[in-house]
Amino acid sequence: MKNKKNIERFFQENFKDFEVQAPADSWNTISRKLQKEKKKRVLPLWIKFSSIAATFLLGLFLFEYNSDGSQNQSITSTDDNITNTNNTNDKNSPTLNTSKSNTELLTSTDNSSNSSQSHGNYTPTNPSISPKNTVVSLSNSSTSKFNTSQYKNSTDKTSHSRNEDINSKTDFVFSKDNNRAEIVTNNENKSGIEKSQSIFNQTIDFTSNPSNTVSDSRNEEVVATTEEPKEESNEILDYLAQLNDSTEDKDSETNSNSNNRWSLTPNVAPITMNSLSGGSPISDQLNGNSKEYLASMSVGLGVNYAVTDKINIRTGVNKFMVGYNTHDVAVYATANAIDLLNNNINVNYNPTSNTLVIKPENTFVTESANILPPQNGYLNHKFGYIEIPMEVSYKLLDTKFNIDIIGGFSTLFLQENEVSVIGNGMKTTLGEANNMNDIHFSTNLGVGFRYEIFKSFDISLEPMFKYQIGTYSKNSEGFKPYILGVYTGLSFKF
Amino acid sequence: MDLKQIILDCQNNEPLAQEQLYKLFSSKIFTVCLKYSRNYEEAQDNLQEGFLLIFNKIDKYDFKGSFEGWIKRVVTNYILQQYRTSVVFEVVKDNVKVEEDVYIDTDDLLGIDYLLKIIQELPDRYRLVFNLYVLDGYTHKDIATMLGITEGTSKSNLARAKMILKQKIDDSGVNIKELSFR
Repeated sequence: MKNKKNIERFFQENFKDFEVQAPADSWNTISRKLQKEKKKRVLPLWIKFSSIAATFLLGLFLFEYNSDGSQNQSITSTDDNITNTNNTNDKNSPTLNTSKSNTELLTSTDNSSNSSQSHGNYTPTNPSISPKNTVVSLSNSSTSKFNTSQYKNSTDKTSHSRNEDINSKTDFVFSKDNNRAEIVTNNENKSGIEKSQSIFNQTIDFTSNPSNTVSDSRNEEVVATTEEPKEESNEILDYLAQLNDSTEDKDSETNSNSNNRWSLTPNVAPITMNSLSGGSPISDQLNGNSKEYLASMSVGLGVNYAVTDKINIRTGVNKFMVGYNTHDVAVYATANAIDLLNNNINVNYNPTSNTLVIKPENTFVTESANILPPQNGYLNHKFGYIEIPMEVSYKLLDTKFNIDIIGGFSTLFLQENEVSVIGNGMKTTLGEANNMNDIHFSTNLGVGFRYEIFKSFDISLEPMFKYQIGTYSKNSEGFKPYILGVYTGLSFKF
Repeated sequence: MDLKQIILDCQNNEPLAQEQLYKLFSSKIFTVCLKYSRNYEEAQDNLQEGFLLIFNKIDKYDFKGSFEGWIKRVVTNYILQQYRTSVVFEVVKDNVKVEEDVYIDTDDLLGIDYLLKIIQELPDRYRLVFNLYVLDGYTHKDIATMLGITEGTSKSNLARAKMILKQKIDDSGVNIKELSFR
């Protein structure tokens, strides 16, 4: 018998009690994957934390490095101080202590502002550090005196130099204001041995304890300061971990990406730089000259983390080189000091090329002192960076074929910097541009096209626009560089 | 051991409890997979991935509401994600009268295997909508949200699915080709 039936009801009735036994081997596969996942779970957590830590620490390190160009020097000098004071603690010999540390401070007072600044950094919180400050200020005064003795300006050389030793020692040991005043006047009077000897006696009475406390408090301080960033980074790690947890909690159970939130993307990109405005950051004389921007390649590795189905955060590291040619320049070598002085070019010359003068083509040149006559050619400036991007991408189209919009910024670390002049087929390296910041940033905007080849592999194509901020420290002449690149990558998700 | 204890043990990632849970629910879940997938092999893949997802998410189950309903939802949602995006560009012919009921003449001799096969053969989106609406009782509004489409698209997809199924049943030769609208 045939019945007329509503198709919906027909299917509902048929499937009402429909149940099929699951394939026999399915459980084995599932349990194997569960075991694997247990192992895997340890790894992503480790990667997660270490990558955050690495990024943070790298950033911290580079920030420290950049915040003061000469900080390296001051750091080494304080290190020396520490080791010296340690030595003296071991040996308990006060004379060694003062003479050594004074010479240390002498060397570091060439950058006196830096060194005192770095000392000053440790001071604000702990009152026990005040003796150290006195030490620094006093040692400065003694240093200047020491200098005069070095240049043999004093009348009584031998007594003075002895005096010097003793005084400088008392400087180091005494921290009370009264004593200090006494010593300073003492220094100024440049009195004989007797008086200073008496001070010397005094100092011996006092040396053992105060010097120890000074050096101890210093050590503690230094230890404390080195530990601070760690604590901070731990806090941030905790916070980031919490953030991750909370976002994971928020994820609905439909999220299929929970198993492969991370991806690694080796990428390569043809890039070119350009500028939003004219101007020549090499020399204001060349502002009117035409420029040709060179294309090159950027290669790197990206790390991507899916915060939600649609939002990803990404970082990584890329290395690239960009450059441009400034056309229609004339180069000549001269011995004329005025010409060299007027050679207004933002380049630190190599010793081999410091007689070369760069002018726009057809500039009138007095030829009298020229070693080589002007030659026409072009200037090439190439510079290379290590780039660390921090970007967020948002999925516009979420299918096998994805479209993302990408925004963020990059930190760029100057690696290479070379200005050379090319004329008549000859290339001469002038030196490096002296107005480029070691670290600068770019704001990044782009669109990402991504296609899933397999479950764990995507290919991506991302045209990016990166506007540079703070490329030049001075005399940029309105030059506003940006970088265009088309980044292609192969992502491995895990 | 009662179900609650099994779930609690699964929340602590205990392998024995996980196996017990699988034994209790594998056929129910596999049936869901068969209906929503393109074929047996994909259903098996979805079963495995679905259970892995269940074990991953089970600590979020708060013992409110039916557990069977919860795990079915988890797996269904997983499968929807696998297939919902596969129709990117769809030519929608809106001449399908979406509100019409479709009737078939059948002598009930069509085997369940055949009915399953023709559901699996439907284009992905049609299959999902048909399963969600007809077999699992979701509303068009729910389906629209679940699949990221409009209600209108859901209705139109359902109508097309029914038309295709009807056509296949009619062509199966078991029943008389006859089409009628109420």
